[in-house]
Amino acid sequence: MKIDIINATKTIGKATVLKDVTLSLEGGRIYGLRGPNGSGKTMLMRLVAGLIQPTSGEVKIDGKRLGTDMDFPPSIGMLIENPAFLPNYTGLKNLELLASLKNEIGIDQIRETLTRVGLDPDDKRRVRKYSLGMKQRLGIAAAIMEKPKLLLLDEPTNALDDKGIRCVCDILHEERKRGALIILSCHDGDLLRECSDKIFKVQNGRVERENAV
Amino acid sequence: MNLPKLIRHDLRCGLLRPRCLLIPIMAALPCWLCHKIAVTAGFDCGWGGYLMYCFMGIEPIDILDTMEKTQLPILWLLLISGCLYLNLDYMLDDLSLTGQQIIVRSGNRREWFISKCIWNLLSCGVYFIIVSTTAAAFSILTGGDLSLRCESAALNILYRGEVDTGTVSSFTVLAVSLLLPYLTVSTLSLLQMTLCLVLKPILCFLLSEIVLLVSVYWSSPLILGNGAMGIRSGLLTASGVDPLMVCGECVVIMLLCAVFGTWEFKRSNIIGAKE
Repeated sequence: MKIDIINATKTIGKATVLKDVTLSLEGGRIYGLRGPNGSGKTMLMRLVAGLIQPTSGEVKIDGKRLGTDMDFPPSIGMLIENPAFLPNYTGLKNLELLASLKNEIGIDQIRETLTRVGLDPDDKRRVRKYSLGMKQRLGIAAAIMEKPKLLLLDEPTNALDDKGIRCVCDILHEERKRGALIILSCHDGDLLRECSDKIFKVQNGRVERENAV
Repeated sequence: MNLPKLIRHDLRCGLLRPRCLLIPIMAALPCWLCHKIAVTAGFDCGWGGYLMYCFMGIEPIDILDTMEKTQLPILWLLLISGCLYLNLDYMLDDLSLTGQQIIVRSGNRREWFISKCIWNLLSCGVYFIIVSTTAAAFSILTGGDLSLRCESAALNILYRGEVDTGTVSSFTVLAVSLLLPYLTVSTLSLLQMTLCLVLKPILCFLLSEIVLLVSVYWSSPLILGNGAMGIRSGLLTASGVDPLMVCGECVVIMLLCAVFGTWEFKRSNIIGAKE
């Protein structure tokens, strides 16, 4: 997968949330986004996910323009902001319902993904009884279960304990090895440096290359 | 083609919500008043009578007559607004929660909005089923029959002598007290949902209320609320609103909503309701 963001600017109301962003991203790599709250990291992820469209400029996924040639990237997993699920269903059932939309994976893969993120697939508790950390793990499971070519993870380590953070790091490396293009936003500088191939600094809607890792 | 799956998601998440428990309470109020009128006038009120009273509305008001200026069909407004309120925020709520995962997986904004339009029609249908079930339960509890037929004498008392016809058939009761109000409310609800793409939900709700209020004082078939008022129906009074015109108007507005909504949603930002 290849993503080209070309001179993308996004204005919402009177605020310019992304300013003239140009990036070229390739599969099999992890791109880290670093920046203060409100700097535009999440907006950049939404732009790549097709949830918002640039006011000017364009986003191309494998040469096809997002918003005109396609509404959303064809193979995408995402965890943007807080994970949201149907509170009256179990974690397994929630993932089953999401997976049924694409019908690409079966129950065995869903169970395997839940185990991979440290959740018990046989847990009969409903999601509303889950702790914040468990919801976060379930959000990561939802993002990775279909083995997407594009993975957007916004603050994936929120509410996770050390073991959980380690688990996320392992998952990121495995997904990269599989060939996924991963965009990771994180306040944890150590994690970002450990996992990312390239780090971009986002400030006031502008995106700059920080350093090679 | 993910439309059936999207519709299934909307039915699972948006059809039977806790606030639906309010519907029987809202429907029981006009039924109880109808029962009191029937007891006072000394006639038996059945299911059809209760439904006709629920969606009676108000006779055409001469706005030049100052004595009539303050009249409002409160119960009718409550019942119609109840459905509009229940359907108000589901679309945006869904979009800021699980709906984001759903829409991205579906890969198609147009199908997602069409699914919401279908949900809207079904949700209004559920509302009317609950209202009519409440009326049926009221009829059973008060010893009335479970027929939709309505005697002309009873209907003339309920509708304050505004009805021109004799005994009203089950089909007429069904059309006047369920089908036409359903069509009208579904159209208003869809219009409200479509406007939510460009305006805040509370403003859209207020606009719907303004349409209903205008319809109270202006008995033109072109003003949507008139179709939902039994007392103004052309099926019951010669000078009433033509039901075919109401149906045509509703279908046209629904189609326009679907077309405008899909076009607008195609370029909308999905950033969660709170933002």
